[in-house]
Amino acid sequence: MNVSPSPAGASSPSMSGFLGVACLVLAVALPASSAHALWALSPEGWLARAGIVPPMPLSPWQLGIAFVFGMLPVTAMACGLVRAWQCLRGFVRGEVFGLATVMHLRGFAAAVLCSAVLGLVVPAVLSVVLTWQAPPGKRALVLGIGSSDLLMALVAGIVWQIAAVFTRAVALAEENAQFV
Amino acid sequence: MPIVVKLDLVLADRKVKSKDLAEYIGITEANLSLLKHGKVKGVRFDTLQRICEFLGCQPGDVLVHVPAAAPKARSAE
Repeated sequence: MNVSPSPAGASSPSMSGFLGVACLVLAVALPASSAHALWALSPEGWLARAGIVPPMPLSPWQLGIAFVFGMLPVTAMACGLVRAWQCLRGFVRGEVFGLATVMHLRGFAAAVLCSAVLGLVVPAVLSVVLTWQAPPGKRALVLGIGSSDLLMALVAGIVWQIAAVFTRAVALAEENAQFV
Repeated sequence: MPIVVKLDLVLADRKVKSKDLAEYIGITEANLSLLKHGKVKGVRFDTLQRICEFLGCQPGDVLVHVPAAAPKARSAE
């Protein structure tokens, strides 16, 4: 047995339910809106987004690759939100110390960390892709570190640690369940 | 496990049904069955107290310590 009910008042099912629905809505809306925004982006918009000042012609394959890379952080975050929804669904069912719930929490942390790392890497990759066909001397590699990405990575790390503590709590709950 | 649960013997001696005892303690019959077969990690003092109250016995009547077999080297001395 790896699931034990939470003590009364340990978590609010209605709050967890609300947050779970919010996560699910965001998990769908975030990639959809990002895809729409990136798809509608003009070549100049892509260059400005990548931090490349002089305008230069872009071929369709460059735009295609930029679109795919541009979607990666958002997709990772959407996956994390789905895992958060599954975790919160476990809370609603009272499975606070369920192994599956904890694994979903850990999955959320991993996805957020992945999204934060991609948020740091993707702009650099975009700059290389978008200036691939530029003449020598005009090619660029833009490196940047944003505080939001670093903060997101930090939060992901903290949530990962909380999930590790929960794993220990699951073991204790299982042991407690074997006492009559 | 050197601790042996003798609850089934005490129940038979007192002619008490497991269902009645489980109901008095406030646990399920399934959990009482696990306890009777020694398939639990521990017994709460509260549970033990209720068992003793209902059956009119002492904890020592329900739980018995059976020493493990002595190592061969020691028994040969």
